[in-house]
Amino acid sequence: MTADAVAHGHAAHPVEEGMSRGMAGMVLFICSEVMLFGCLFAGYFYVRNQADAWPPAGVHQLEAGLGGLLTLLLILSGIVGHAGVVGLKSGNRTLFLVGVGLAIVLGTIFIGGQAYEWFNLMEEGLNAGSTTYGSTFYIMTGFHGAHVIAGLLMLALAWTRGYWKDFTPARHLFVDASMLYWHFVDVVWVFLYAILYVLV
Amino acid sequence: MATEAIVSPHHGVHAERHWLIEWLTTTDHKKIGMMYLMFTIAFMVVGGILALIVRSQLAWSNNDLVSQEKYNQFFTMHASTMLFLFIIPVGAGFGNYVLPLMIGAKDMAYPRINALSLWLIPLAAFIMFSSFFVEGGSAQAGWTEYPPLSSKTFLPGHGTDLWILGVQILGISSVGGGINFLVTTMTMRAPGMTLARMPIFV
Repeated sequence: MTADAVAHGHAAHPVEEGMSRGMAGMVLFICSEVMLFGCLFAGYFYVRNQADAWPPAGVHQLEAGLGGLLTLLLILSGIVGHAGVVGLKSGNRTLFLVGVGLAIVLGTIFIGGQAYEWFNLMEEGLNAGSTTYGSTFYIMTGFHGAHVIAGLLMLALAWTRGYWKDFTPARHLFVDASMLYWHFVDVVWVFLYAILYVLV
Repeated sequence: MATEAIVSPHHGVHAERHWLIEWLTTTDHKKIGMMYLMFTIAFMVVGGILALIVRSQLAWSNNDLVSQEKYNQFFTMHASTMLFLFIIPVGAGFGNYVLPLMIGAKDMAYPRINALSLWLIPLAAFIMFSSFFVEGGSAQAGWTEYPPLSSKTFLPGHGTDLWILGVQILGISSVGGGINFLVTTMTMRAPGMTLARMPIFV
């Protein structure tokens, strides 16, 4: 880190290079979130390993189709959001507004698709209280959905502040931090999709 | 911090705030640290009283000081109080007071998250202790709350639910506090203080 530079007398100020204070906080917060989802994944595999049949008798495997489409949407939102941040850093404000705006729209569609799938599954009789198959599914996708909503709120605030010209190519900590969080939410979903829908 | 608030070059001279408002809204690490210690020591006393009841029940055989259910509630809440409301936050109290001083920082990295972490603790304590007054009494499966004993089948009351809610809030509080301490130590050390030159207690 920069500690070496300080030790050798190159830096006149307290440690300010490297990761900024805000990003360090976000990275550590994401670490705590990784632990949270790690617990959920561990619980899922434990329950699944203990079960006689997975999915249990009378419950059919989740359809991977809609989930796959939503996965693509979320990955796409990560890419356009990143393009938006690159735009902001290079002074291209239009690219920022379009990129982050598109990321917000795609994330909202994701949440809508998720809600649609939840209601469909509940009508088919897959409930959180009926089987462990249902409860693991709803708790994991529900936790993830709550994180997506939190990420969307952060991105919406970042977009609004950008619209108000609150950020410059040099000062955009909030955009960086919320986009990092958004990428984290994307990555978690890829793993969730892989084990909940695809892994048979 | 208080003197800064009184004489500020930009805003002129302010009237000093009422001490209660000042303490309730402060983001100063020393005041927050002191309040951490006050809260946790108060909870230690509460936990101690619960332990006293438990031990009094056990003082001689066939004692009927408390009922079986109450006994389970008291030892569960005694352990939960001592662990989640005393041992875990008391370290944050000392750390809040001394860590910025030891590394030469002017405050914690996120003073407002620091205040949030502090004030979540009495909220969580209120939720946990309020479970004594709901139907079925407070949590009574021991502080580990292992299922199936803590599950709905064996403890149908809402005490366990309130207990879980309280512990979750305390978890948010200590995650916030932990991030705060780590970021403070990583980014706010005094010039020349490398990681290896830090005081040994940081």
